[in-house]
Amino acid sequence: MKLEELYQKIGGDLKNVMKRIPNEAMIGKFVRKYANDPTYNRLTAAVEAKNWKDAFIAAHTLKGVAQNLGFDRLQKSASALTEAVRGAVPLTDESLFEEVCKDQKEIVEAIEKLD
Amino acid sequence: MSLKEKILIADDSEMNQMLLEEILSDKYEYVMAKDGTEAVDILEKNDDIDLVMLDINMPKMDGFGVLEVMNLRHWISEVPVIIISSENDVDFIRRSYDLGASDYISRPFDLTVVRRRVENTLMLYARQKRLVRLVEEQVYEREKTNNTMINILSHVIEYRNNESGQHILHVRMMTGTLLHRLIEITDKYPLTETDISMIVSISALHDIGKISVPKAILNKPGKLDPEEWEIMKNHAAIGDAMLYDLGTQQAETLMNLAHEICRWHHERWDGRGYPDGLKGDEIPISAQVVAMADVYDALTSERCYKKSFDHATAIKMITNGECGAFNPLLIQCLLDVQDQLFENMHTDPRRFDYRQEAKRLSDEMLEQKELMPNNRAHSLLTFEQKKAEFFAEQCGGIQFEFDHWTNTVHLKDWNAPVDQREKSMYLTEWNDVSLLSEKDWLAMREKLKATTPERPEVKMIVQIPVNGEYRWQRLTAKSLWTTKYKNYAGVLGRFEDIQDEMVRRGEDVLEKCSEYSVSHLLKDLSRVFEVVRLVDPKTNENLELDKDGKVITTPIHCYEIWGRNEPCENCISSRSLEGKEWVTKLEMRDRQMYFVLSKHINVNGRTCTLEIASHEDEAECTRCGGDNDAPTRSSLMNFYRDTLTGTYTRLYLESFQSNLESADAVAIVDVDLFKQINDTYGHPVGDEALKTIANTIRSGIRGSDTLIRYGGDEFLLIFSKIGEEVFYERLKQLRRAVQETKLPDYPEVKLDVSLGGVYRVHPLSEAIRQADLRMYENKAKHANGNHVACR
Repeated sequence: MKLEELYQKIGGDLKNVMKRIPNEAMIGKFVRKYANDPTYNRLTAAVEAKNWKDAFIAAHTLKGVAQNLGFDRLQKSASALTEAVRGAVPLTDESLFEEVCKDQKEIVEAIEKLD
Repeated sequence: MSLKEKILIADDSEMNQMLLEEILSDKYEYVMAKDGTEAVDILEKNDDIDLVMLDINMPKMDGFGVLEVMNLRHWISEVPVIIISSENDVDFIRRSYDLGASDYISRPFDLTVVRRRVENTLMLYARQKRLVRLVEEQVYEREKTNNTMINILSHVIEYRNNESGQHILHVRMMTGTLLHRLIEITDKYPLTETDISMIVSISALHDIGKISVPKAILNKPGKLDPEEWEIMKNHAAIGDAMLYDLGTQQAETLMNLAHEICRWHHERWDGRGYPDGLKGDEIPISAQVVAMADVYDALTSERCYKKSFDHATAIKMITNGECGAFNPLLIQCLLDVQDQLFENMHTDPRRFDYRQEAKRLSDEMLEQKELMPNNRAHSLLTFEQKKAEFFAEQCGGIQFEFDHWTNTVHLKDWNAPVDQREKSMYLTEWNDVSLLSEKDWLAMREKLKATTPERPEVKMIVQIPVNGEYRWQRLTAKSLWTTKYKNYAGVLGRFEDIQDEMVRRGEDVLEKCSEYSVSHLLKDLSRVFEVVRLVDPKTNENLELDKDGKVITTPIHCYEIWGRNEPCENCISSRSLEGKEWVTKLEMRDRQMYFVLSKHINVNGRTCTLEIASHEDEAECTRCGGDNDAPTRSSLMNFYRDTLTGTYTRLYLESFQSNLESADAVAIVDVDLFKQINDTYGHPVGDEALKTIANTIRSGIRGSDTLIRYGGDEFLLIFSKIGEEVFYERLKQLRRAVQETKLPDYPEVKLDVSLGGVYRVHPLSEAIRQADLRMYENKAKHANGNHVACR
C-alpha cells in the first residue's frame, strides 16, 4: 500500500499533512514508527487500572500524536475520550474508549500493509 | 566543545520528540526528557541548555510544574521556553505566558513555523545573554578592584592591632549575609543590591578610628581601666571625625554611610551604646548590622584579652542579650543564617567569589534599566556641541540639516532675529521649505542624488528671498552617510549670501572687458534686451566691433534711435562717464516707453558707453537660475514695481523725475473708504481691492501714461501728451470704470475713488501738490453725496 492510500483508508488526508511537513519521506518514516509507539498501550493500561489521571494524560498525548501525523479519525476519538476523563473524572461512556481502540486497530493494520 | 545550541525537548511521547528532532534537523543538539521531573533534573545538571521545548501534559510533573521550578530557581530569565502542546485552551496559553514562557506553538506541527520560531527565539536570547554577560563582566571587574583595595586597607589597619587581618573580611561577609536575609524577611528597610554592596564595602572602615588609640591599650592583655576604656571608646567618634577631613568632594552616599558606620557601630538597640546613645531605629540599619557582625566576630575570634567562643555559644550570647542589645529583626536574621555563617567561618574570605555579587548587581541594574551614565563621554559631547554652535554662528547665513530617517529639515537662519532663528519642519512634499524655486529645487535634488560617500559635496548658485528681495546665494551642501554601512543619513547645507559679490563681479567684468569678451557680452545681452550698443560718449556715435574685435566708429549717432537729430537732453552716455554706476533714463519710441541703462566701460583701451534698452510691458517673471550673472529685463523692471499692484513705485518717480517733468497732466487717485474695507473685511480683501482698482485704471490709460502707487491707498497718474478736455473726460471715465468693477468674492463691496487732476502745471512737484488738493476737495464732495466733475 502506498502512503496516500493508507491515509485514505484510515480517514486522513496526506495532502494536508504535506502542507505542514512537505517531506513525504519524513512522514512515511514516522507513520511506520507509530506502530511501535507505546502511548496507546499506556492508555489501555490506565483505563484497565481505572487510573483516570494517567488515562487523561495518555489520551491527551495520543490525541497530540494523531494530530501531528494527520490521523484525523483517531484524533477525533482520542479528543472525545480526553475531554471525558479530564480532571481525572471516571469514564462513564465506554463507547468513547472503544472508538479509540477501533481507530487504532485500523491504523496499525494499515501500517503493516505499507510498502 | 560543541558550537551547536542545545535544545531540551520535554514530551511524554517519544513520537513527538522524534518528530521535533527531525523537523529541526541536525542544526542543534538535543536532550530528551519524558516528564517534568526529568526535565528539571536535566536543567539542574546542565547549565548550557539554550532552549526548552515543553509539553504541558506529562506524568509526574507537568509543564506548568516545570515552569514554576524554573521561576523559583531563576532559570526562566536565562533559558527561553517554547510550549508545545495540543491544548489550545486560552487559559492554558495565558497561564504559560504568565509563568514566563517565551512562545507557544500549537499542534499539529508545521515544519516551517517550528523551525523559524525556534531560530528566532534562540537568536533573541543569544543577544540578550551576550549583553548580560557584558554587564556582568564590567561589574565583576569593578567589584574585584574595590575589594582588592579594601583587602589591602584591612591588612594595614589590623597590622597594628596584631589581629589576624581576617576580622574586617569576616565582618564584611557577615554584613552582606545579614543584609540579604534582612531584605528577604522584611520591607522595613528598603535596600537595593547596590545599597547592600556599598554598605558591605564601607563596613571595612568601621574601625579606622583605632589608629588614634595607643598600641599599648589596643594590645593590653587584661581588662582596661576606666581611663583606657574612654580612649578606646573614642575610636568611634574619632573615626567619624577623620572622615570630615576628606572634604565634601567625595561621593555623598558613600561618605554618609562611612560616617554612620564609623560613628555608630557601637550603639545599642536599648540606647546604652556609645558615643551618642542612639536608641532603636535611630541607629541607621547599616550601623546596626555592622555592630552585630563586629560582635560576632569578636566573640568567635581569639583576642589578646579573651579566648574565642565557638559558633553556637556566640549565637546564644548575642540572641539572649549577653553581648549588646540588638534589633529583634536582626536577631531573627542571625538565627536564620547561622548555618551559613558557620560555613563561611571556615572558608577563606579571600576566596570570596564576586561573580555571584556581580550577577546580582547586574541583574538589578538591568531590571531598573539604569546604566551608570558615562560622565566623560557626556561632557565631551557637550563640549563639542558648544564648539559647533560657535562656528555655526561665525559662519552665518542660513544653515540647514536634513535627516533622512525622520524626513525633517532643521533650519537655522542667522540673519533672522534671535527668537525666529530656528525652524524645524517635516517634509511631506519636497518643496515644503519654499526657499528655492522649483527649478533650483529639482537641480539640487538631482545633484544630491548623485553624491556618494566618497564625493558628498554639492555646490550651486541660487537665488532665495531675503527680507522681501531676492538675493544671490552660494549653496554648499554635503550628504551624510553612516559610518559602518555607508547608508544615506541626511544632508548638511549652507546658504552664503553673495549678492554683493555678484554685483561687483558683474561690474568688474564690464570694467576689464577685453575685446573678445565684449562681443560675447553684447551678444548675450542682445538676447535679453532689445537694444544693446556701444556708444562713444563724446561724439555720440554708435560703435561696432568688427570681426577682429576692434572698435570702429559708425556714422550712426546714438540719438537717432529715439528719432532725434541732436543729442538727448538727458543723454546718459555722457552722464555715465561721470560715475561708474549704471545710469538710467526713459525714452519714448513708437508710443512705447523704453527703459535705458548705460554704463561706462573700457574696450581695448577706448572709453565707451554700453547702452541697454528695453521697453516695459506687463512682464511676467523670468528669473535666472544657475550661473548666469547678467541682470534680466524683468528684474530691472521689478526694481521699480510695487509687488502688490504691479504699478510703479515712488522710487520710479524719483529716478525718472526729469523725464516726467514734461508731462501735460497729472492726477492723484485716492481709494474711498479704504480703511473701512480693511476693518470690515480684513486686510487681504483690502489688498484685493487695491489690486483691482490699479488694474482697472491701468486698462484705462495709454502705454505712454504712467501709473504710480504714491501712497498706501493713493495713486499718481502722469499723462505725457494729452488734450485738456480729453484729460478731464478720461478722469471721469476712470472713476466710472472703478465703480463698475466688483470683487469676485465680495460683490457687496462698493469700490470708488476720488480723483484730483491738474493740467499743464509745472514743475511736477507743484502739479502733484495741486492735484492732491483737488482730490481732497472732491473727496469731501463725495462724502456729501455730491457728484461733481473733477475740476
